[in-house]
Amino acid sequence: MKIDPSIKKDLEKRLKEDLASRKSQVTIVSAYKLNSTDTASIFKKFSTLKKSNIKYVVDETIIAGYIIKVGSKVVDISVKGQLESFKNLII
Amino acid sequence: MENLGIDLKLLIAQLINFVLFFFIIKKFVAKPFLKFINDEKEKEKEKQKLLLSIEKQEKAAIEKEKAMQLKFKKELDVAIADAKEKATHVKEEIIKEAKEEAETIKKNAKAELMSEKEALYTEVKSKISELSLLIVNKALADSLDTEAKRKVTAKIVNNLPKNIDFYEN
Repeated sequence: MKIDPSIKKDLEKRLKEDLASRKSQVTIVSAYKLNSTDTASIFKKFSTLKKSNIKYVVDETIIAGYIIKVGSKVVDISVKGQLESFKNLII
Repeated sequence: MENLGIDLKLLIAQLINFVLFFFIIKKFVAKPFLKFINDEKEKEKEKQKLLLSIEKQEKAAIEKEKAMQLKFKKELDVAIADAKEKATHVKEEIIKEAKEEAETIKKNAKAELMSEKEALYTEVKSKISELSLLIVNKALADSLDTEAKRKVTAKIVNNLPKNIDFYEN
């Protein structure tokens, strides 16, 4: 089946945009709702993070700390993550 | 002679008659009869010879049979001894193989047991860790309020190294 080149181009463009958006999407998971002081400390520590396109998620199961996701990359500095690492270390 | 009552003519005729009778008997009766008797004697001798020969042959056959039986018995004894030896050898081989197999099974079972033990130990360790983690999680979740969580978070952030690596999810 032959695909219309314009549709193909449009699809490629949309996919690239979606991929770029996903790559730049930042998600910060915290155990409580963050205030401005908290976010400021995060941006101070992670200066490479762009302040736009950020999604804040509250997950009480992480106890304390944060999980920061940038695209497909993750940094886990939550208590839950630390305990998991400790568990993996002792097994 | 005639006075004595002897008739000479008759006497001569009787003599001729006797001589003729004698020759005829000798030629046609006595000779074949003697021949027959001699033949019979010869046949009897042949029979005796044959009988002796048969007896000899029979004796020889019996001796041969005895010798053969003896030889057969000896061969049988040798074969039995050989078979016994082979059987003993086979028995020893079987016992040896069985022992080796038993040793292998024992070794494998021991290894399997060790492996299972190790797996069980790891599983128990994992379960204990999971349980401990669950308890700690629960205790922290129950005991920390938002402020405490904020303090803990601040402490974590402050203690972070300067360069933190993001890892692929």
